[in-house]
Amino acid sequence: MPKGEAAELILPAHMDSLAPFQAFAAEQGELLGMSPALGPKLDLVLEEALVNVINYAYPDGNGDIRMRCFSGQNQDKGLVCFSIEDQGPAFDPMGREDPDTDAPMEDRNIGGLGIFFIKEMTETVDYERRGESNVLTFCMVLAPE
Amino acid sequence: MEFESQKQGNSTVIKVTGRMDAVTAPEFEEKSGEIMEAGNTDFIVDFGSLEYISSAGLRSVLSVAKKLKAKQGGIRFCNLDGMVQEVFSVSGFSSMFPIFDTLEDALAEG
Repeated sequence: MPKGEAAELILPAHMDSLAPFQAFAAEQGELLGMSPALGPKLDLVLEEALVNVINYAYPDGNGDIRMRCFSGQNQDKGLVCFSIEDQGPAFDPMGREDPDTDAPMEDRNIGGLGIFFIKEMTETVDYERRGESNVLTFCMVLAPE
Repeated sequence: MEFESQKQGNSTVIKVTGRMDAVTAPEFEEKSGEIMEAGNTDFIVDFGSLEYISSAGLRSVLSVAKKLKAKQGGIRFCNLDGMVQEVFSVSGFSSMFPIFDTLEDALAEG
């Protein structure tokens, strides 16, 4: 599905890296023809994915995140794709159960909601353990109808 | 994120501007806590100028709502728009809390 050259950014797994990653993704997305209307959704998906890595991938606090941005194709739809890679212990975020979004306030727990947003706001999302790396790849339709 | 609060009748209207993300959401919780400690427990949150909210923002909203409920207070929202409205809808928060189209409607409910 992915095609073409990928742009890449590597930054420390720290909350200070969140905004630069989002800015990089917006810039690359624009170069690939992403609709500006997708901006807030892309920011959301990136935040949810990156904050998970920042909080859990490196218990000693030291490590990097690699983001790659590339174009893709799903049948006749052009996609903008991002992969987020860390070298933490194997963790498949897609293995979590979806939260109960109908539960009353008293029973609501926010755990799992970020991953649920990633699934809801993207066209495709895949997790892969590649050697010592976790790689989460997601794609969004460049110009949704 | 900017946070402004103003007492209107028995309610406290909180206007949040900008972004509620993993970096800024704790500030919402902290400032809401100060208002509660001053004895105000009827919150109307005006999200009309909020551009962006993530699960971290929702976590703060839920935490504040639970504290208000424990104090026999409540929270309602108005002016949800764009991605903020979508995030409230996808997460089920729209059916968990009273949501109003305008601040006037939310105030009238008080």
